[in-house]
Amino acid sequence: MRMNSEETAIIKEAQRGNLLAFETLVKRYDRHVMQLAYSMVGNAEDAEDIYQEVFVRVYRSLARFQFKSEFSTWLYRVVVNYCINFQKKKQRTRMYSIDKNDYEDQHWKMTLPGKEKNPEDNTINLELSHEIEAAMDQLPAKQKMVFVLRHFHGHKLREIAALMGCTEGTVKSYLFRATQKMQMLLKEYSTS
Amino acid sequence: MNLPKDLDRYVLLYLYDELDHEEKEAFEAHIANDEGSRQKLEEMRALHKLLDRKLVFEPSIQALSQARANLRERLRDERRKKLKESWWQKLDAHWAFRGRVFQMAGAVVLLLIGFLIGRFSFSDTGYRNISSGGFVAVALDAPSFIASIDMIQYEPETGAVTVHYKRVQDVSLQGDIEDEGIRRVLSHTIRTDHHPGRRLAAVKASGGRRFRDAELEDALIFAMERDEVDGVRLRAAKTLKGLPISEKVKAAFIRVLLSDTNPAIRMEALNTLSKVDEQDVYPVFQDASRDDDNEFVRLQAARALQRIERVDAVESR
Repeated sequence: MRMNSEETAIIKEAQRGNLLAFETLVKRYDRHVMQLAYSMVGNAEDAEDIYQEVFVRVYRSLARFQFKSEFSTWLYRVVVNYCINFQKKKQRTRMYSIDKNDYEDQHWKMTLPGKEKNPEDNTINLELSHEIEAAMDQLPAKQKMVFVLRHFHGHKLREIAALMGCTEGTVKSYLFRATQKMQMLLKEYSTS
Repeated sequence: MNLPKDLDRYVLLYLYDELDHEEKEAFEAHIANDEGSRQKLEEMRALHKLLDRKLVFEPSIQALSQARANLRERLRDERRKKLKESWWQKLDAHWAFRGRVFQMAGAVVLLLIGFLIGRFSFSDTGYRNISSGGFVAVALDAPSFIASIDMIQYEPETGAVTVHYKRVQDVSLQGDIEDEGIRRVLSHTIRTDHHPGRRLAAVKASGGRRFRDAELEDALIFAMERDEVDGVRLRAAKTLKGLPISEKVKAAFIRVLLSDTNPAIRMEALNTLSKVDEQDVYPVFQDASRDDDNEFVRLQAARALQRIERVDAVESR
């Protein structure tokens, strides 16, 4: 999202401590933040925790935002870093908290964009989604983040490099290794 | 990249449309003549097809609303904590951010200020040879009193007494809010005095007349938003309400309405904002009428909104 003069004014007002202005910023970006967090951690509870932590951190450090980059880039950088650390911690402590019942959480909708699906297809796709989630969970945190951002959120590699603070070459390597591993883990599904 | 050697990478970047025009042409020419490469491309396409069947999970309106409400609570807590931070914590946090150079520079400046204050305050304090009668005369005649006695020395042989003491200048100012000296002392008291009674008295005295002064206005805004005592914050809000409402004051009242912990102070802010340009405050009233913890504040905010809407309707006719 391009930062226009209206957004600049809102950010400056939020920097002066106006909570209403900050909430306006939150409403602009929070759906994407929540979706990205969900893609990374795979359950609603953790996604909502990440949502809260990220916006509180942004609120605390907003005064230091100096308009050198787009606000959205700055915000998503916080999200990406927080999600990577969260995922690392989760993997270290072996807390695989993906509770499949979360998928049936009444507050979250499952959709397959652009296609009409009948209930049977949805059941099969739900099973497949579980398998894909499980495979993605075996990727190291940074590889998973690159894979999620590129494949499921449509970010270009140079954007991902800017968000993660590394070179485009590094991002390509992460994506390549992640895809290879996914291909190996999902071989039986992709050939059937 | 070398195409035959890095074929797998080319396949991946081709499918993600991350190859530049020349690379793309070279890749397409290559796979047209190479069965093995086409096979790899098809395998990767199969994976993409599978991944495209993964369901996308989207938060519903209710989930987002709940998350926003929880966040609003947390942000208000953050704000309250921030307001309760001591000036030293704020200074410390600020310096921690600015780095060691600023810390060192600040330390030197503070030392210098301390030195100068010491020099000017106690320059006439020292060992004096005065008679016992003289001492009484100094204490009564000069506008000063003894702050502390550092040392008393008595020599029995000669009968000489040496006293080393510090004295404090006792100043009495009289005037009104139009006097700069009065305003400076009031501003200083509002911001720094540790005694809430004196801060309250200073706030009250600041509203004597509808006189506008930037320094005093800032001090009153500071008191309204940050004083730890509810009574002082409320009194500051009442005082500011009686003064000409500048943009800065209006913004402060908006912040108070949205985040003060005391409903009486939020009500004072609401009443004040009801009198200013409705265009600015309309969304704030909407927020208060919907989200304020206190039922009375919500009700009054809703009434203020109705008043604004009635005026708009009359004007549009």
